[in-house]
Amino acid sequence: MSETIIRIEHLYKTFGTGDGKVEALQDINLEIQKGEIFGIIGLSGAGKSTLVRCINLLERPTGGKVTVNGQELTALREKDLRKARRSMSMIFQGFNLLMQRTALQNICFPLELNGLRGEKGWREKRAKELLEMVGLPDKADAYPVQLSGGQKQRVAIARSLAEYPQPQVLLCDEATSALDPTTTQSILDLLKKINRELGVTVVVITHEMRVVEQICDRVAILDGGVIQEQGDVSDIFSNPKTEAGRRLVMPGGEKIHVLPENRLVRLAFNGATSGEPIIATLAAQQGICLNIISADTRTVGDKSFGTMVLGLPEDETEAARALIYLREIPGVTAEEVTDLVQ
Amino acid sequence: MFSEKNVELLSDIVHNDLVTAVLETIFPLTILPTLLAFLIGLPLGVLLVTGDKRGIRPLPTPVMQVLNVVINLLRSVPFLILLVVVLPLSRFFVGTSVGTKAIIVPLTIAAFPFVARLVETSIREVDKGVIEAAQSMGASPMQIVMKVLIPEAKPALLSNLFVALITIFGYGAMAGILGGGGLGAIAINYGYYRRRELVMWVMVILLVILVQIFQSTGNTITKRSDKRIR
Repeated sequence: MSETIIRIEHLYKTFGTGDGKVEALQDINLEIQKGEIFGIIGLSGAGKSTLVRCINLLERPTGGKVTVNGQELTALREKDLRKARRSMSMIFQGFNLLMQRTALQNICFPLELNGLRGEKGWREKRAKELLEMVGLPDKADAYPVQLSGGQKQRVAIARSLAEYPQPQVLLCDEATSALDPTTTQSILDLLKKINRELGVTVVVITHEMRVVEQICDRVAILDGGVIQEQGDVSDIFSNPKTEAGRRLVMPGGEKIHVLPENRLVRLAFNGATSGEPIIATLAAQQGICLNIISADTRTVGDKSFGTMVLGLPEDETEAARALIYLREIPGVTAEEVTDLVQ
Repeated sequence: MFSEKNVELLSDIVHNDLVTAVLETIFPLTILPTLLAFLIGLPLGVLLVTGDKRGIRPLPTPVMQVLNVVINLLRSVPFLILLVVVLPLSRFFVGTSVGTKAIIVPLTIAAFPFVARLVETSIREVDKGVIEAAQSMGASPMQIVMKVLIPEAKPALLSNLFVALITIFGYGAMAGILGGGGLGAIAINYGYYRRRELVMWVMVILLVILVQIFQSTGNTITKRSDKRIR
């Protein structure tokens, strides 16, 4: 049975007052389960960073409740809040390492804060183990300036896990946004490893679809300070129900300027084998020709993700046969659409 | 300028007073007041940043305003005037209001507001993200000051320490007018009051050399301490 580790209820955050008032977050409700990787995706300005800062209360919500691990953070006083923050940790887009400390000293930092002051040998041993885990055993004495972006983020991840006892929640604020695609991939793999092997619940804030695609179990789409939809990644990405969801899943926009007269069907690829020539097969075997109206798919590994909109043949029986065929393909959902054009 | 009398006087001074004067210039008139000014200015400068509305431990606005006004006020008084006004106070702090020892008090009072501002700008340069990271780990404001702000600003602080040192060095030389010792006093007493220009110029050259030494030492130390330089 899954257990809720982070519960956000009716969370509001407003910046400024009067005319300059900005409603950054409105009525956010989220439940993040222990041990999952939860994604919060949105375009810039959607309120993602504010939302993640409301989880560890770096940003104090204007209203609402945040409960982590059964402890209502919003009710805590500053001193108790600092203690509570030790069970959560955070990594950032800009890595935020201490520039005047070596990698090893950076990782020791949270341990120095929590009063394990006298045990330098123990701290360094723990830091070295963590460096090994993130794949940088030989960088203990390197200063951040001597490390690449990916290496800095690895050190930051090691630092985020250093606290003793080990944090149960890792908040990632655009942790891969400053990295190139290959490095992003390796950092995502590392986050996944941490999640699987150490059981750390990971909350990922990102504007990148593929980050969510690759590591998240569930996702919430944030737009204009409001959660537009949330659910399993495969459901949301194969079939976004809201305008904001579609904008994210199909950045090019599924806009069709000339409305075809035929009925339309939207294929959502959710892990179908990319090697299958679906449409060609339909044409070759059954003699049914479909018109590709728009397509936005991508291949991850050997699987396809994304959507495609097809125009069905005018002939009703052919259209029905095509639909049956499409619905039988594993990893693909086919759905007739009417609300596509805007 | 190079008359026999002048050269003789110069060699007399070099033999009898120069070593003492150089040492006085370096220690009681420069390094000591600089350290005292940092002792007061460092916490004040930190407070100016942390007590800010958006700082890590905001203080009531009136408190910050008073702090700012006092610092600006002290900074706007010309050093010579401050020297005259403050010198009587030296009797209270160091037991005398004449001589090199007495000058330390006005030097410190003139320098600490300046140092506070230098510290303020150094501390403000610390990356907000790093402060946020420390907060996310549950660091208290005091821990952030001691373990993040000051260590991360160390290169800037060191660099500004030498800026302050050289400014105070200049003030110390000026204090010769009111009975302070050191090279400045010799330059003023012989060169200015008695029109022995040779002595004055030699002292000025020595002052210039000392400033160069301070500055290049400062540059080396700053560079060596900064881990952001590969």
